[in-house]
Amino acid sequence: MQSYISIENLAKSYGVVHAVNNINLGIEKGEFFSLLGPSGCGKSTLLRMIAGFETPTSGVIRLEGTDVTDVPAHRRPTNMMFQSYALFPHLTVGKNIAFGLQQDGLDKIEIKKRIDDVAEKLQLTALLDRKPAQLSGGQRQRVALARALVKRPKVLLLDEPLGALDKNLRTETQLELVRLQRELGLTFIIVTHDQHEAMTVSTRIAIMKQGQVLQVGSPANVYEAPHSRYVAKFLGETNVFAGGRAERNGDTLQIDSNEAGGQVRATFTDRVALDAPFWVSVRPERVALATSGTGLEGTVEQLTYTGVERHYRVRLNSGAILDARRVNLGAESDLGVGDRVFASWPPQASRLLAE
Amino acid sequence: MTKPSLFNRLSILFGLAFFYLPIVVLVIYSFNGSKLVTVWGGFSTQWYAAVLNNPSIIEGAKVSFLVAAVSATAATVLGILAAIVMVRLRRFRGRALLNGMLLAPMVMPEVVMAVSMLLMFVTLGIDRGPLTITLAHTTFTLCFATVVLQSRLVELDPSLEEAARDLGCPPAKAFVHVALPNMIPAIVSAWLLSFTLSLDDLVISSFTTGPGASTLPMKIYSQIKFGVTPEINAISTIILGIVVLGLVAAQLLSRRTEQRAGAAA
Amino acid sequence: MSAELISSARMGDRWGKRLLIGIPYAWLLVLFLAPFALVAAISLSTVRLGMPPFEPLTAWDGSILNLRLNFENFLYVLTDDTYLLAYLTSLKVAAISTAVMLLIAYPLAYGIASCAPSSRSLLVFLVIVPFWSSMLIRVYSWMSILRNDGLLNALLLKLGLISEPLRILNTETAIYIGIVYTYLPFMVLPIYSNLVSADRTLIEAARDLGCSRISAFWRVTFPLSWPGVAAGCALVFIPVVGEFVIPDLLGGADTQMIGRAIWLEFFNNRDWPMAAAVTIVLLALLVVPIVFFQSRPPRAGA
Repeated sequence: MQSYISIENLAKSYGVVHAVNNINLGIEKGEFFSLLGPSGCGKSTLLRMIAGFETPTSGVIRLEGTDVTDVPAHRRPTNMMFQSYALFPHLTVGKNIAFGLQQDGLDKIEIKKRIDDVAEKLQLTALLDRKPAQLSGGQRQRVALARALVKRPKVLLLDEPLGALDKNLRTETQLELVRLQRELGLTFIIVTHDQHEAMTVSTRIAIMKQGQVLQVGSPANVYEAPHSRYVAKFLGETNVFAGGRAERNGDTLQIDSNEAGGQVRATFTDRVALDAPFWVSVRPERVALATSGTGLEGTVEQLTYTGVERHYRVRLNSGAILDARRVNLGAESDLGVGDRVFASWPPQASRLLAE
Repeated sequence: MTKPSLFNRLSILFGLAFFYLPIVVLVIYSFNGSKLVTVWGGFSTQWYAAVLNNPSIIEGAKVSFLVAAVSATAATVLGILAAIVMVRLRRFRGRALLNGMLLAPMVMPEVVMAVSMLLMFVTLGIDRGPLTITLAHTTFTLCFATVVLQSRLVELDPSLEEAARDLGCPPAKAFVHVALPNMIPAIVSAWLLSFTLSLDDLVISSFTTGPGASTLPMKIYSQIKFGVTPEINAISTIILGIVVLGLVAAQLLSRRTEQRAGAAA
Repeated sequence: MSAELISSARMGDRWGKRLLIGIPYAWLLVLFLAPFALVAAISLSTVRLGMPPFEPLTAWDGSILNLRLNFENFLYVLTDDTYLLAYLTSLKVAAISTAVMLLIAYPLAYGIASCAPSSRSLLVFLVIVPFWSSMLIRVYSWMSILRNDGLLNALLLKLGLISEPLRILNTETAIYIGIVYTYLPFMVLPIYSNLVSADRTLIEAARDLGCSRISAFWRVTFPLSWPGVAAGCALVFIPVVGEFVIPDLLGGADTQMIGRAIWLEFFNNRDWPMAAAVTIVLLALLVVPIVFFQSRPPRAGA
């Protein structure tokens, strides 16, 4: 069964620069799908191709099975929320929202009904007669959203919509967007470079780098089970050590790591070939530090207090750095800078990576 | 930069004085009752009367204004098209050539352009007269109009037009509804600039004109060659007055258009 | 959405784009670029009476097509002393005027750029206004001022600074005054627009690192203003080489510039092929500066 939105072998190049390089993606109806990656990875180009502002160099875009690759932007059943909001400065909020409906040729009564509807949903009713210049950033954003939503698009595309907002407003708005999306039952595709944002709002995330999709999965999926060191490091923080000789012990693997200066344990898996180079990744929040016992030996080099957590930067005896985190439960830290510690973690916390 | 120093102030003062001295002299002497520059013969408007009663001058003025208005309009329209092409279309074959052709006339000596356009008209068999002057003026003012329009278009946020397209507007309509209203001051400037350049042109007009069609600068030039007459001061002051009025009117008009475009729903 | 609708939409798009590019392109090709080829062609023709006043380049002799290229005009232009002098004079006048204008325009532009934003626009407006009035008329007014019985001499005589009128009109000096006066805004505006958009923090950084005000100017501001200076020079040097009106009205017989030479060949001698040849040589001389300045597009900023 074909996906709601199907992107097949899509590529876009500008001369010798390959902005998007052979991408295949399937997005289902009702998803809140994120395109996540650093600047220049091609995520915006991909979004713009879906919207119809860029013509692919090759490949096909299908919407509900229909090939829309050659359909110009003004005829596609997609709508976009622009990074700069792109509100028409010479029109009131009401007229901005009405703009798209007027292009569709709806009658005045229907237009008014829809505007009132969406204005109520987004708390814009009081602002309908104002001009964009008189609104705050958050209000403008809601107008941009209303303007796109009122057309009832099959897909709503959001291009880094929250970048201009300050942190508190951003978090609020992220949750608002999720609520709205579920309530309206629409499909959203969002482009962002902020991994926290992607993790918060998405049903699935596609991580992109240099024009290609590296991994697609739910937030839990890509966080707990990255396929590569790049993905592991991109989402959150992680410690990565090169793995050496591995010995199987029932369900556990004992892995020698020169880099870590000792042995680490992992759950047995045949996903990664152990006779080829591989790496072990473990998240800082899974690492336990103790003043005695077994594990990798090292010294606490730095201790950072962020309120929510304490970050320990440990210099292992091998010379490598190990980051560990503990949630702040109110008590003072029993470890300080310069203390000798032993770092360990359960085998399930290790993630083996082939690249 | 902090408050301008004395050096800066003097530079500005001398610079501006230099610019305006001849004009002031001109205006004053257009009212000079005496023919001689060194003698003040009392305030008089006789030269203005002489100008307005001179059919040749009036005829030349009519031709000049007509040609200027038509060529300015053509240059502005072409300039808008050229600006859209250069700013919004990313790459196309021959872009470098178009860019070169759009900028070169600005630095080309007038005689060169005049000779070449004349030869083209002769080759194409077009009868020389007001039509050929208009075509020639459109061509040489096009580059100036394009520069003005292009620098304005570059400032406009392309995502506004994209938003309009996204909401269902075909690209041309999106441009007309979203970009054009925000370009009006630039369009007015471009038109006025082309108008003035055309009105004032001597060299290109002389080469590309035909029998019986003389522009005002051509008439003034031949009068100057015959001998300096004070009527020329009067004509000059009149033209200067029209231009200044035009500039002021344009400023007011563009400001009001901006307001109205803002108020319009 | 039917397939025909989709492809026709894209096609309409494509044709619309082609028309958009095509119209200005065609206009400029026909009326700007192609004419130069004609000038080259006719420079190789021979003068004759009648219309058009030059011989065609090709002639049929039965079934043979004869191509007659007359290089005489070029030979004459390139060997005749008067013409060579005219070219050199034109280049010389252009170069000196450009230098003089730079010396005047830079402080003026800098002064205006240093003012508060509100006064700046007014000052720029004041600089531009004379430009809107007729150039011919302004040159003419200089004639009134510079004549032997003109305003300047009258003033100097009255002040007792001179005992005899200075002969300025119809000399090379008058040409320089006229050119500097007419073309100055073209030099001021690019420099001004460059200075005004300069990054102030760079100057602050230089001062922070120990530069004096003057030193900061020479080491930071001036080098950064170079594109504006180059644009100004381009906008001035090249047109002045071919200038006609100013040398004609303000200059005398002792200064022959090439713009005037072309005019005379055309109107007085009715020798179009010769005029064309002179034009081609002028173009050849200017090709180097034009191409050089095309790589940094000049901006009039009017």
